[in-house]
Amino acid sequence: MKNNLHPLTQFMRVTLQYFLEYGFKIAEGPEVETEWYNFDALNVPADHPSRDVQDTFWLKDKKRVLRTHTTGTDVRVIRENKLSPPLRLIIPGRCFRNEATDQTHEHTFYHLDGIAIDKELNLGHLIGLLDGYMKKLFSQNIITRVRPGYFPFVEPGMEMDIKMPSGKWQEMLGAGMGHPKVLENMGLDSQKWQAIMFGMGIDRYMMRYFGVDDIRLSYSGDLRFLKQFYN
Amino acid sequence: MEYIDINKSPDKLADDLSLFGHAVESIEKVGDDFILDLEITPNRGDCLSILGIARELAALYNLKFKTEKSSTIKNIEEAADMDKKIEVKIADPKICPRFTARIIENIKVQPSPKWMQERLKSYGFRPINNIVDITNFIMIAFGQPLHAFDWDKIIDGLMNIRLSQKGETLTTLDGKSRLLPKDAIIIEDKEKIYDLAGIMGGQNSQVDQNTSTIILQGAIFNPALIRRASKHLKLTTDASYRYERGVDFEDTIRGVDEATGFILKSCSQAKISKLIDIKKNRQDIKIPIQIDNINRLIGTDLSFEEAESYLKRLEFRIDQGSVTVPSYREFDIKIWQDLAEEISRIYGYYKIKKVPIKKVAQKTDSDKDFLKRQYLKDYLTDFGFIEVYSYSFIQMDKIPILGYSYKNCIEIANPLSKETQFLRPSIFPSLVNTIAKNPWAPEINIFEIGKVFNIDKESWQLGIATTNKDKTNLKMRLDFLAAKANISKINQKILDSYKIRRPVNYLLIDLDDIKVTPRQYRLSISQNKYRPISKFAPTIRDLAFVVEKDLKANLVEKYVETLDEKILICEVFDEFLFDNGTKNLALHIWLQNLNGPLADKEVNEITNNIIKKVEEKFSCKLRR
Repeated sequence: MKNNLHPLTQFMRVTLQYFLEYGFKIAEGPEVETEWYNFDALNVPADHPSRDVQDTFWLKDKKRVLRTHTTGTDVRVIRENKLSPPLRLIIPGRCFRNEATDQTHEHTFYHLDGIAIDKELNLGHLIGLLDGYMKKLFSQNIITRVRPGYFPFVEPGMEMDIKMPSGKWQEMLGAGMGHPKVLENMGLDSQKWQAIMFGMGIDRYMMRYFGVDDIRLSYSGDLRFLKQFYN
Repeated sequence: MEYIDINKSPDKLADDLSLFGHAVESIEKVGDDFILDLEITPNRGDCLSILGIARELAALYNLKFKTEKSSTIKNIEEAADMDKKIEVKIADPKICPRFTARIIENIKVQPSPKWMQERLKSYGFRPINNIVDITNFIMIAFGQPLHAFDWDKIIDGLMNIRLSQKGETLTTLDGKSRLLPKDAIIIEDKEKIYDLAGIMGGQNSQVDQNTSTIILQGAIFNPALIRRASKHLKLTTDASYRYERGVDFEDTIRGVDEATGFILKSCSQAKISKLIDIKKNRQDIKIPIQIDNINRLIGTDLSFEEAESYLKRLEFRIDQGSVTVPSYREFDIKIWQDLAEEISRIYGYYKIKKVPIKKVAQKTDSDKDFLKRQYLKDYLTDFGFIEVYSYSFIQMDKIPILGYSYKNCIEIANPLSKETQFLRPSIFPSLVNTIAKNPWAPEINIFEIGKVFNIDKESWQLGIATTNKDKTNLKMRLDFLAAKANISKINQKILDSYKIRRPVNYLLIDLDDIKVTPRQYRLSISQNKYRPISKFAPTIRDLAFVVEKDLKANLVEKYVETLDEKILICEVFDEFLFDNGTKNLALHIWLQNLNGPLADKEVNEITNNIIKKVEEKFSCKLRR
């Protein structure tokens, strides 16, 4: 029988392994998240247009959301467990965006967020770590580039692209240096500690890896899809 | 309007802009021009204009930036004293920190010249008339939203700017009657509200064919108030989009003056009043910086002078280690880390050296639940179950059918469809759904581990289901997991409502009830490339071969799958030894056609071909 793991499970494990080898530890958090952890703690205020970037499922109480990323979980895990640096956490998990689905859009996806906190960690470390990750995932020969990007929880912020065979650049992930407000919300002294942070959606990587052409297939339960990914 | 001279190809420009923080979505050639469609991030309201992008390019390429007034407004003559007046009252300067305006009389409303209409269309605006077009054109050029009111429609020229009360109404320019929320910014005279300020004008003060006198307004409104009202009314306009992101406090006059110049050109008889400009005091933001901190954050070795020269290109002023932020950047630049990003942008992110990070051992056991789940996944696949991911939602109409109640399911306040209105209270609905989705599958053995949601908590749950009538496999898994749970049969009513035509046994276990010691999980990843699945149902054929006992089943599976593009899946479902040293290998073969249903004839041809090829390749015989 074809009795394999879901392609997202297989792919997530391989992805995590890269970071585990650098000493990152897996952590997790709830899928129903408070507004504070999902937004405010990450320097995304209610009255700012940066909130609109993520279409959000709100619960009836208007205080909780289906988390739109696992970045808020960084703050939750560190704050609630009073963890102290040096820290390396990698946080996988299911996330949600309130949008209509089609071949390239899905309201459910898997996010992977990473954070490392230390006294001397800088943008150069972050770029090095992520460049290595892209090479591990896709090919040693892949060409990456970084450019400025905006995410309210990091400053400076950046995005990483990879060069496609066509010569076009494909956006892959967002990252940056942890914003001092976010570090304070984790209960850390932002003058003492520096954080590198990165986040990415795993579904599209998995699709690229296996050549899947419809993002909804992962959650379709269709065995014609699932049974293809045996070892 | 021309600010800078650049000599770059559109592609090079697009690449450079992307590397500078403004991703270029597309490049379109229109006539001899190229239109670059930029994605401006929400923190950069100052870049929502030609002026803003030109400023960025000047900084990027270290070019001289031409800021002088355009020729149209060099010789504006203001009427010494005009009879027509306006009276501006601002309830609180926080609502409207700056109000700049001018009265213009003797205007003639007519269509704009063709070049302006074309230019507006290329920016995605619909040309309306000269006055409205000029206000839009100037907003695109300078980023200052402008509005023109018909002066004659406003009683006594009164412009009373205040926050709305809940329940007040206004019919906006688009003809819609709007019930205003509390705290929208409105403008009224003694009889009526006539403007939803910063978002959309009122129909009752609209410029029309007969308008001869206008109030040309270029104001600054509170970004948060604009955003709240715009969200509440679900009304986003080009003006509100800019106000939400922050409009330059120090540049309102330029917007009004430039528009005035264009109106004078369009209406030669027009006369203009003196400029009206009411503003509160504004303090520049000043940020102390230390070059060591900046270098420590971005991993560079810049001298203070280098950093200073970068910031100066972006129009920051530096005085004794303190940086003064240009007024148009005050929404974005608040702390020294923000300046570090600006320095990095000019320096070039791509020049930052990659540095390996040190490995640091972590003390937490935050991964223990994750490891447990991975272990269970490996265990269950070893015993013939395939892993499924389903949505975390339960279809609304299935809630009562499955025996749950609405009030025990967590409800989403703003679902886009009924499919995402309730969260699943159990993995059970997901199992049933998956079985129902695969009516053609000969035998289904699935499991899913996922979050389930009850009113007061969310938790991990494992669900296993099988269409095999023999419950032995399920029983053995349950015994191994040593959890308190029962194997159940899905009841007939549920099967009927999901059109499932076979019995299903299942098992649900909360992960907290499973005590196992995780081992390292498997890291192998499938090397298969995905093959598209058809919109049409597959045809399943079973074949059994008598093969040599050492032949590995998966070799046969893989071989068969390469024989014909219509063979999607070949899976061994029965394997047993005969006394004579041979074995039986029974296969399910899933056939599909991407373009339509499979014809019987074709199925038979493919099947005969499989038999022939497998017999040859593995020196075996079909079992008849």
